[in-house]
Amino acid sequence: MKTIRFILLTALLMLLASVSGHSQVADIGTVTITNNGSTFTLTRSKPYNDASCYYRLVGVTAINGIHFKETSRYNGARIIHNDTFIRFPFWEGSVDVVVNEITDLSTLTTACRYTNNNVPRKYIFEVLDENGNVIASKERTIDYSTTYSVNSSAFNQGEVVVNSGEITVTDDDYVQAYHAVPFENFFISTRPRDWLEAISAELRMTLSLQAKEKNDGYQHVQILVNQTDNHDEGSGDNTPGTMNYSSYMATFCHKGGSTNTTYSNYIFPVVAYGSDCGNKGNVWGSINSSNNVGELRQQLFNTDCRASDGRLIVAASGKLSQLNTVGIRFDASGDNEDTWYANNTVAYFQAVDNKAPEKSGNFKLDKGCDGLYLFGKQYYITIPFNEIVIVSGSPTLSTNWGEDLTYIGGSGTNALTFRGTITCLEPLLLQVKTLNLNGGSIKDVAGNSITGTININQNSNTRCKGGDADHLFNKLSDGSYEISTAEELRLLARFVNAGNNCEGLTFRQTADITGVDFMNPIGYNKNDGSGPFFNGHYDGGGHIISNASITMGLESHCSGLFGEIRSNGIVENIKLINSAITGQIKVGAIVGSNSGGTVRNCFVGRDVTVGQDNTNPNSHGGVVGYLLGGIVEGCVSSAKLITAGSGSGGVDFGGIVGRNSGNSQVKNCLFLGPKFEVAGGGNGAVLGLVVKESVCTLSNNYYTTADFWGIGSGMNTLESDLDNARRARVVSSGNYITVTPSDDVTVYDVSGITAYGTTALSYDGNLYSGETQTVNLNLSHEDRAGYTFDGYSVNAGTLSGDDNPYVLTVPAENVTVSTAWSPGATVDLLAHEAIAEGQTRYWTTFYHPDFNYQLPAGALAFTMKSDKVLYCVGNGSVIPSGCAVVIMTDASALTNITSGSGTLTLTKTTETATPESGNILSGKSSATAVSDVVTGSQKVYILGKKSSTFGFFQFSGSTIPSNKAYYVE
Amino acid sequence: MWNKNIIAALLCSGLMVLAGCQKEDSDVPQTTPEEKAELTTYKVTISATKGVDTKALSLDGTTLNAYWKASDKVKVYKAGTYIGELSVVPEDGEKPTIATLSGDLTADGLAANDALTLLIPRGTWDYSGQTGVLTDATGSIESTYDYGLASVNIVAVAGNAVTTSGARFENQQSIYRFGFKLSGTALSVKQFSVIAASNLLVRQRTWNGSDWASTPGSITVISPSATSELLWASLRNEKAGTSTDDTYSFTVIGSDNAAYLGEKAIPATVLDKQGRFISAKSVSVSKVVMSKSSQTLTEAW
Repeated sequence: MKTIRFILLTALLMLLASVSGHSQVADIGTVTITNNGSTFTLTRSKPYNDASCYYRLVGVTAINGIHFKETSRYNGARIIHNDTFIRFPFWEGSVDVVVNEITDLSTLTTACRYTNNNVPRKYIFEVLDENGNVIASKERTIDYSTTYSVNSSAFNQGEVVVNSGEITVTDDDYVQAYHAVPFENFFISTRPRDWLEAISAELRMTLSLQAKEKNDGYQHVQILVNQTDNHDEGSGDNTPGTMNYSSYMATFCHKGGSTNTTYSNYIFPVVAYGSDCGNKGNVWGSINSSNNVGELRQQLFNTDCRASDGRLIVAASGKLSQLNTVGIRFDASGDNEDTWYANNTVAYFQAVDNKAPEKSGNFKLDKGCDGLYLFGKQYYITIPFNEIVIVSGSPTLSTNWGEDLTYIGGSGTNALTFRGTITCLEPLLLQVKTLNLNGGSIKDVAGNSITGTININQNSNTRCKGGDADHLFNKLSDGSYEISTAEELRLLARFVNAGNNCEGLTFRQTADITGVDFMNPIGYNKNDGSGPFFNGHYDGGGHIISNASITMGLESHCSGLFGEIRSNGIVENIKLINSAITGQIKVGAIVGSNSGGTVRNCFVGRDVTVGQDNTNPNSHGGVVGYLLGGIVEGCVSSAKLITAGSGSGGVDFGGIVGRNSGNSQVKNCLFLGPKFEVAGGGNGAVLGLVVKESVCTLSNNYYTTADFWGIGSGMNTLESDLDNARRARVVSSGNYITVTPSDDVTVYDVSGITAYGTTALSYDGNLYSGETQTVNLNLSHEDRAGYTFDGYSVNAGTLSGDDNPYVLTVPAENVTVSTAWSPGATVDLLAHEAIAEGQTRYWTTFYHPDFNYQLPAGALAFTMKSDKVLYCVGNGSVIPSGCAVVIMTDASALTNITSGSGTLTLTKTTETATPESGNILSGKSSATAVSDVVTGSQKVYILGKKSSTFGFFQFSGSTIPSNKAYYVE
Repeated sequence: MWNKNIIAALLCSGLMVLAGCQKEDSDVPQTTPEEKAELTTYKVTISATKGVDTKALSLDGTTLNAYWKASDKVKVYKAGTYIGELSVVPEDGEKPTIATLSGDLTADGLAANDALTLLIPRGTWDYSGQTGVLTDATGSIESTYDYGLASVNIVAVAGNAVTTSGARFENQQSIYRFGFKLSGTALSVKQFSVIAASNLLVRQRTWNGSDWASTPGSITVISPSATSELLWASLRNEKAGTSTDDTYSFTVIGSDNAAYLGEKAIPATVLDKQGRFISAKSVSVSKVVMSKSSQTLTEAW
């Protein structure tokens, strides 16, 4: 009972939530479709909520709206429905949708009624979610009580017996021998008259008979269509008469000068000759050669009654329905004793279709939900034809919604259906352009092929939804959109270039991307100043973009990974390598034109080219081409700036920024070359041209390689800023010393720059500053075993101060800060307690390149070979210079023992000792980077203890301390 | 136990510092007579007797015997002041245990009942630099590391002739004999070091005439050549007489130059007094092989 109460209460709460306008889309779960005839039952796996879905009917061989229609009837009193929308009643797990199928084909047009060889009419019932994703589908074949089927046999010649017996023909004119039969004897079910007429077939005829003479004379024959009351009159020996009512008349001479002849076979018309062809001998030779009889005297065709093949046209295209009877009249020449006999008179008819099929009416676009026509969704188009078409191969259909649609079905019917994916980002009205045979064929039943491309050129009033970011990109948990493939980056370009400036949106690159060969940058600017731009946030996440080929034609400006960004645009944390950025004006590796936005923390490799060999390039930069009131900071570029021709013709080239206009900032950037040669003006190693009256505030920018000053010509108000775009002077550290500027640190982790205040920056292990710059430095040094520290010095410039921070004034050359030392007498080592082979000792290691050292009593020095056994150096009391050793000692040799450690004092000595050969231990006199002592997969091992384990461990630090023993393996 | 060792080590290191203040190369502690003292030279003859546990040494079965040699020298102290050296005249016989000590003593006055301290062979006793050889060689225990001590009282002074009580010398260390075995097989050894868990093995001992200062630590014995034979060591363990056990830890360098470690428990009964002959012929050792771990460390020792 409690359970029932709980369920009821829960259901009530859920219902209230629904009624109260709870907008969250309920989970429908999975949906299965079953059908009973045209009734489709949709069953959901998660009932008891107000979930909803959509359905779509896709014609395959059936045409939506003709063979079936969207229903207007739903089961369930509370179903809310609107066109293809379905809402499940709260309690219902399933709903029925009844499709209105047209099952009486006789009510349809001929083209829609017939199929080839009983090809069934099919459609697909699809269930969609609100985003247009198909979540279930079922194919349906419409049941018909009466089917209408044709095939190519409809074009076979058919035989209609006019009179199978002997007919006596006298010379009493055409009236005396008349025999007629209805055309229905020809239009049997396999040759349906309505279908033949609908496909514009014409009906052709030949007449076959046998003839013999009783008396000598000429024989006349007349074929009449629908002329039961009228006929033409005969006129003489060699002519069948004057043509008026008949379709065809002929006079022939069976056997001149003979009587009581035998039968010979005749076929009319004589296809080799046209009207009024005159006397023609032996025209039936093939059939009468044995009798040497038959001479055509004359044959006449009524207007438009002679077919191209010489046969008689009894009904032109579209006039088959007018055919009622075909009559044959005979006559004999003269006016006495000219009797002859006709026998076995048979008419042969054949429908002839010489016309290729054509599209008929408007194409059909499937109907669906709002999300159906979003970017990336599938859509279907059915092209109706005026007759049955038979498809071979894979024809395609082109539209303005994206890539060509592919053929999915319809052969044998008058409807071909195509399926495609919407890749159009703009909300365009659908325009179906052409149907392309694509190497295949489309024929009618008679075999007439469509040739070439079928121009459809029809528009729809249905507009695709284009794409919004939610549908185009994977949304990350922080609300940003993921860019992880070249396809997605290209998609972003298309998205932006379709007019979406992405303001307020963040795109986050989550993986390295290679092969970005999209045509256009992300945003650009046409010559007239208009054009799409990016005003969102792109975070490269430190991932690489490589093998990018970005092209902007000369008709437009602004080329770069991003063509143009605006005031809210942020592009940061990108590593661009091995790529080519082409364009003429406003070309930058990262951004072509930065109009008020920010480009930050980006790296451009030396295998990146900017620009191309074209005419009068300008505003090219290694990071940003054109800067209009924007910010560029923390960027490194080694891009190769390509100039026009052989180094001439370019203006406003800069290693970081090509040209500045407006009030902008460039700070903490580094241009590493290579040199570029530009004959024109306004070229600088960091910044090319600063347009008159504009201001670019520069701070802490440097270049290493260039033939220009840091800033090009055109400076007007920036003389005081010249110092902040200077040739880099390297401040390096001598041995045993660490030099770190003391000013505020700004780290650009992707570009690799660390900026120190406004006076220096470091990159790739080098510390850069500029001439006359004063840099505050924190100096520290290692403790050198066997030496006493005496102080710091520089090889150039001046170093002042007695303690940190020292002040370095940078000269016009590179500077090395060094340490001074004097020898000492002893070395103190820290030895640590550990158990080896079950016994406790104190341990440490030591190496000195210059001096021998005496160990105190109780301590022994060992080398180690690859067997990891310790071998005594001499008697263990002296460590020779250059010999890295493990020292084992007892406590008696130590001082200051505390917490398991004690001090072991070594004394410089002239005594020597001879170590075992094969020592694998090494050492360095100063701290040494692991990367400097290993190759490939080698590891460094150091002595130490972890938990209760004592021995040599992999060294996971980056720097090996000085005077310690280690080995590499 | 560990704390005790640390305390002992700290104590010993302090003692080392004190010892370091003295002139190491001198056999005799330097004492400076008062400038105004009036020195007199006395003739003295002392009958010195020792039995089985006094100098010199010879191995007789499992017993170490001691006897006098004419080359022996005896240092004499009065109240912390070195006053002279006596020569030794052993009694006749192959292994004399009795000798007559005679010589001149220079002091600012000797009187009856004055106590004299007699040391063999010198005032500073150093146990370092041993070679593992018992006798008959330079650097042998017999020649360098067999230290003895006796006290006598002046019975009478007649003019410059001084008569004392008889001197009975006592050995100040025990003589150890060590053999090392690796997996049951005698190890050929080049050198070994031994340290006591108590850290009361004496590396150096200094007599200032009135008191002793000991520097503890390990004792290293370096054999003239690698040998699988037993090696001797003269060890003074000041744990003697405390009725507690001790453990010796050995660091052995084999003839292959490799390092070996071993341990030997020393019962209190063995340590009950100095002057013992102690044999440990089967000290098990194992080779020191450094383990290699794929675990990581960021700081090197």
